[in-house]
Amino acid sequence: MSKRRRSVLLWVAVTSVLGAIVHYVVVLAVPYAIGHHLTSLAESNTIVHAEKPSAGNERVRRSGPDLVYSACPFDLSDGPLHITAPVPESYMSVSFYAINTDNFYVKNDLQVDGDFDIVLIGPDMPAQAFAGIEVVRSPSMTGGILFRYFAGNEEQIQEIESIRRRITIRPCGIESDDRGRQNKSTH
Amino acid sequence: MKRVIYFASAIIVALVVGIGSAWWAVGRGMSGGVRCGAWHHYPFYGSAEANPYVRARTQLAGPLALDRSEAIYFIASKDTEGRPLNSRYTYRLEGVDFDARWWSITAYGPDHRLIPNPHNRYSYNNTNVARNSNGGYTIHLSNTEKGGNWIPTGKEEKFELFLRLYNPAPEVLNDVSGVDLPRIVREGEQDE
Repeated sequence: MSKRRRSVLLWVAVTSVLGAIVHYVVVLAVPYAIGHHLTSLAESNTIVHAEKPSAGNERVRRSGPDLVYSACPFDLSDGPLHITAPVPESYMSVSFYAINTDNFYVKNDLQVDGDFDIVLIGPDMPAQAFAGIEVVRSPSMTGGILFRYFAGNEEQIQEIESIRRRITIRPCGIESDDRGRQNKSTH
Repeated sequence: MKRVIYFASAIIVALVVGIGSAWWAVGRGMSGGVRCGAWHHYPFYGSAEANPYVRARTQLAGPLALDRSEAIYFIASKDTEGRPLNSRYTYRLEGVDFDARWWSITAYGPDHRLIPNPHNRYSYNNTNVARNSNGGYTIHLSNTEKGGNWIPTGKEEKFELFLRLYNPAPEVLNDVSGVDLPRIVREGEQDE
């Protein structure tokens, strides 16, 4: 084999291997890029109450028009978060997403006894004893919390509007009487 | 100098081919899954167990889906006879209730976003769909107004239907092929 031919074959081999690595890295990176984008849409650890989805106001593609969403990007750098949320008459769920958008936790209104009462801890944080509170470990320090409320008809929306403003998300150990200060409306 | 060009060209070509092929593989939409009539179900849609391609595609088309333990999804981009859904035609969707806590059927445009319409009507669910005398329902899909259950399909030509089943029964989770999914019947071209 001539030296030139060997050189061309080596170029093709190196380019193919590098191309395959780049291809796979890009595919793996897409969910992380989307997760970082979504968590940048609002301030960390602050809840946003979105309007009922309609054409033109959707935050994400394939939003459910029969649902009302509240969302909160989380950042556990300063410690665990304590999340409480009252339960309405109809369907509601609380779901946690890692920064790569994996849905690592979901629970609905029928699966809790009373209100949602959850402590979210980081991947390496000790699972401290929080009496009577469910502790959920996140695989990433940042991510998102999504509250879904079934709003199949207009009558349900009024109830949802009042109940979701009672959601609280606070660093553990910090409790406040001024719950409204935590809530930020998109209206 | 020759050596620099040799390796730099390899790196540039690898970047172009790697990024281009990844974008093509992720952006060409969903494939595979379980076919149920006109509908496709992707068992790992919204799941952490999805392979990297399914995960990337689903996050691009509709991020923040739920794990299948909470909700399962069916997508239709073709009618019951396998023809792509197109807003140039009118369709009749015929279905029955599902074994789930609640369900909804939504139409999205080719960009996976809700289709703008003056009625702000995008979907029907088990609480607001009008029933036929046999308990089933018929939903008309067209870009001109229809009586009864009607979802506007816009003027973007391609559209898709998305069926959500929340808190599906264990039997549904165990065998999605047994779900009695709606038929999507093409009726004819739109009246201009």
